[in-house]
Amino acid sequence: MDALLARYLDGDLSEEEARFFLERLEREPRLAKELREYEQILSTAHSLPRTGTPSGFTDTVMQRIAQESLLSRKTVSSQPAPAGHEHDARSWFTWRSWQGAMAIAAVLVAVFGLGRMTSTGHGVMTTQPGGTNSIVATGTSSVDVGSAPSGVATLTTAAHESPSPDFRIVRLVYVPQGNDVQSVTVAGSFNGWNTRNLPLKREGGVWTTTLVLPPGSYEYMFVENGKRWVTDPLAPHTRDDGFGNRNAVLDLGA
Amino acid sequence: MPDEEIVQDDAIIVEAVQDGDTEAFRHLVDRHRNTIYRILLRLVSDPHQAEELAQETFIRAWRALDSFRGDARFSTWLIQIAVHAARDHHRSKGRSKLVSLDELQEQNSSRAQIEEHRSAFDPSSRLAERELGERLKKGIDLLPASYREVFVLRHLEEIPYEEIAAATGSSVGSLKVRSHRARRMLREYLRDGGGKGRPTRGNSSARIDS
Repeated sequence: MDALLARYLDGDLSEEEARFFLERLEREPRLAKELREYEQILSTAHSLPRTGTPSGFTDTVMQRIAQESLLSRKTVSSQPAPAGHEHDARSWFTWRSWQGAMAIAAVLVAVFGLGRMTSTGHGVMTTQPGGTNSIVATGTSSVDVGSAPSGVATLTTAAHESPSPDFRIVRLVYVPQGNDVQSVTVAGSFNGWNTRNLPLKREGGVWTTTLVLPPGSYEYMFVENGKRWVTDPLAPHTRDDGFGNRNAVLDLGA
Repeated sequence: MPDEEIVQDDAIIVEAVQDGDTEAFRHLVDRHRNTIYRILLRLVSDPHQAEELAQETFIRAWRALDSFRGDARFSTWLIQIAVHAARDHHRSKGRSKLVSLDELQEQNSSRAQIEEHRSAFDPSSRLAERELGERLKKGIDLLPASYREVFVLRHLEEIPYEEIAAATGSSVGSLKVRSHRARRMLREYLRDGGGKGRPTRGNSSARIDS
């Protein structure tokens, strides 16, 4: 059973294995409790503060690199050299780092600008300070994210209530409208809005997954191809996410 | 984690640096420094050491950049360098690490007596999420190094197993085994109130199934 549990946690179960596993969960409260503890560990791991480097980190790295490239030159000239042929290109650029930085910045803006133009209709995930994720639409995509012409999505709680009052089994079913859909995941408050770790499995044209969640109120969205955020069109309730889109709300009462 | 666009942009910048524009390397540092720092912070659990090793990681990457051929993602390559830097660090500090383990064990057992081994999962212990986070961090620090690596990369930074395999030189299969052992050890550690010292390798599945 532990092997099945391990594979469940890694998202490796086939549809059939998942069904078998869920049946066991319903019969065995201890197993359900164990699973919940694992999920608590993983969600706590997700929500650990997303610390970053202390300030000045990049400058220090670049200074050390500049020093190193100076030292590695056989002859150190006392003056900033013009673009002489005899000079190593790397060292030369450290002499005129200002111009270099400006030029590269311009190139990157162009590259990013192009990227945005081509990503019409995609939501973009940004990490806010403090570790909470939110969905932000970029450029022309802002309209599409919330009101995308999506397929039929339904969400049902298991027909028979689970024996343990400690968790709910929720089956997510999603039918995309486009035929360019390679992957569907669900991202929500239950997994830190992670766009990868809760994939739906395809069965014909229908994408499904099953979640085991403690009672509570959750918000979620579907994510197509890792990028396109879709509000569940059939969700009984939605809530403004503060960024101009709507999250579906899933109420699993205690 | 990087999506395809970021990977593309990384490749463009790497090429610029390889063509001699050292200053472009700044953008690679800015893009990846936080991830690399966080990984190292959890692997060596000391902010100053983590910062030093993170700088070392980027400097090693810069030195070796000409040999980077783009077969792997740049981010994977950086993580590989960082993981090796952490391993080197542990190798050189082997003894002091053991001492700090013992110290932690002592701290934990005295605290555990006060808390009567309350399980971190017990709702009645009303652990604030933050406190659970603190205990989890301590538990991660106490994991055997190879388990800690995979737990940090997979479950904290959410890097796919395939990339972890490329960065660590282990197979996906053995990473998954280690990952679950890490999860199991952490679960036991937190259930015992985080108080019995080092997470044990005990086989909990036998108990659950019996």
